[in-house]
Amino acid sequence: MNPPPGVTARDFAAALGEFEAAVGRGWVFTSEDDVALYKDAYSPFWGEPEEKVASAAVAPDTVEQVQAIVRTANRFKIPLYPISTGKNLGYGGSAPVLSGSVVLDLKRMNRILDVDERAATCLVEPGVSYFDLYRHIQEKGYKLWVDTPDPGWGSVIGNAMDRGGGYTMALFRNHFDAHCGMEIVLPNGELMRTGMGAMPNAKTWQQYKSGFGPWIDGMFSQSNFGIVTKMGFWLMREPEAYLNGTVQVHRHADLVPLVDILTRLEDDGIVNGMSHLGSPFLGNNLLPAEFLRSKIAPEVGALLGQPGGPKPEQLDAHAKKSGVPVWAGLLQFYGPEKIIRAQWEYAKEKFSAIPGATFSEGDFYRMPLTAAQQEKVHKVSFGIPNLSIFFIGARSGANTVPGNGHVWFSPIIPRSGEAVFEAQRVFTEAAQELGLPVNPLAMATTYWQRAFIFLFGFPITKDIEVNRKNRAAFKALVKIAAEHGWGEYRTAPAYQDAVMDTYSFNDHALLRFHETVKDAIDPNGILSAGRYGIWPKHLREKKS
Amino acid sequence: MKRREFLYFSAGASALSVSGAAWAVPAGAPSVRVRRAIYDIGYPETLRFVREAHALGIPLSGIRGDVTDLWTGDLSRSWRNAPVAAAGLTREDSLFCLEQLARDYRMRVVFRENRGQLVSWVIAPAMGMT
Repeated sequence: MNPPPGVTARDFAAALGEFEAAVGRGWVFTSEDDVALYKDAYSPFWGEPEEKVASAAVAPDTVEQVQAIVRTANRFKIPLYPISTGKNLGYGGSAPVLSGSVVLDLKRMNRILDVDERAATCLVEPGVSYFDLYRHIQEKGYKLWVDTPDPGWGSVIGNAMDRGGGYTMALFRNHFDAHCGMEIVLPNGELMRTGMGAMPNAKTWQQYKSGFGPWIDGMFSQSNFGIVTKMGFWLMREPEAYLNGTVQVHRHADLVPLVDILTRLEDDGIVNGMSHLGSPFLGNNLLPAEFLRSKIAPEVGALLGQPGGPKPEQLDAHAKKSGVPVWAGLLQFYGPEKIIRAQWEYAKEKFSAIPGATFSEGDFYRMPLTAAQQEKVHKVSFGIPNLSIFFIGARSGANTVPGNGHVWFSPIIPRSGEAVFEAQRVFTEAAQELGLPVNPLAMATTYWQRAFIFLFGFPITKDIEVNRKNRAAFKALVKIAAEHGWGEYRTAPAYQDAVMDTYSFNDHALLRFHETVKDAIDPNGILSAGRYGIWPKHLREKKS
Repeated sequence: MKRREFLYFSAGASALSVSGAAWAVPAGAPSVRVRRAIYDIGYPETLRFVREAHALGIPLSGIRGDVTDLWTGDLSRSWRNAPVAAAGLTREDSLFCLEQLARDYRMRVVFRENRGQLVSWVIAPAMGMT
């Protein structure tokens, strides 16, 4: 057991003793085996000396215990790295940004403190997973949905704090935006509540978000300014019904009006579920069955392999010849049957402005879903947490070497067809230069309103040289994206400094503000050093 | 003492076999009481594993790749109440998920061996835990 950087073995032992006094025997972990459990399962540093490892872990059960740990950490200057469930795979997992930190594992704080069906809100602790909250709601018979990310094992709070997303209505699938009120242990051990929670006995902590005065909740997301110990959320009410339909367009250039019309329909609340865009040339399991392809047609494969990717006129010619549309969009509607059918009709009317646009009505369900329907649907679109995402790309006869994980490269680009074309061109050229496999028809995703994410999964391998090459390529892509005005919305610890470096307006005024706040509220730099590129003063000085 | 409570997984004491070959356990591997067996229904090569686990009275759970139903069905509650060792013959992606879920209960993979498209494995609590 090595002490954290800059901490003597004696001080570390004394601190661990105090941690144990606070949380009880059995909840401080120091053995190599136990500490290894906190490694990032998708570490891009696999097998290298730079791999992020903890020195120990401590698992409190109450807010008071968290406060006691923080006070001890201040006294001995022990770096802490709080995690909720640590399952943020693809964006960092449970490993600390600063190797040698003590992981503050909040998994035991897994109480669902309140679910108010009338108000459609909940208040939970950080160890509550999407599975936990869903099960609770089901057992109580509440007509409420939990918007869940692809893997349902993560923490409701943790995902929101990382500004993750899900798949239902816009208000709920932006998990940070769906929150309402926080309780935070500050780096000095003091307890603070935000929003209406700052008023003792407030009746609307989970109903009115901003309270009075500066609304500071955002400062605690993607940061290291405090430890969130309670958080409220607005929940989606179970809709009466669900309908989806697909619009198909047959020319490459049609993506521009397709996106414009879709955006208008979403902004107006006509299309109120998450839309999915893609090219049926590639096959796509969210598009109607008639466009599904087990593999890409050879002619399309040849076009995709061309230097610089396929030319629009080639795609148009293939669409004409094959009858397969170049682009399609899956639209989803939640609400009363009469209304969502009218919304779909209205959407078709609007998309009909695109010459040759065609439509397919998809699935219609009345809620609640039957067990058989639950098996059939895209579960997360119905707020059903699951782990099925891990079973895509499994080892099989055709895929004998399944991946070892991935990290996400996820720049935000404007929500327009033109921006998609530019991103496709820029990233295809960059990928070919960097030796990366990127599909020239890769499509942006629509998690957020008003902007797209252009998401790529970078593979993690067990080959150190390949991982090194991929890390360099990732950083190169971050720079290329920034040169085009596209910034990552979230990234794994290995790239947080690089991404933060691109948010450099006015000589990094934003990062300097973060650092000013950090130094003021966490002068010993004990909380999550380096998280999202925010380093405490003593480590900044060392770095420079 | 019932045998199901004391199925040892250790050098020289392998009780479950996989694909006709007894589990080869490195010398010095810890003894583990296996109290749960998990297999993938989609693969006929799990048949022997299933028969032996059944004969030993170990509770069996079948999956088809995805572990969601197993987890939300009873495994999460079972491990929350008492982290107990499980042995499996599943796809690697199933094991990956179970390994990540087991971390929360201070359990880890103590044995793993590839068996064609499947992997045989044991997940067990840290030493000293029941």
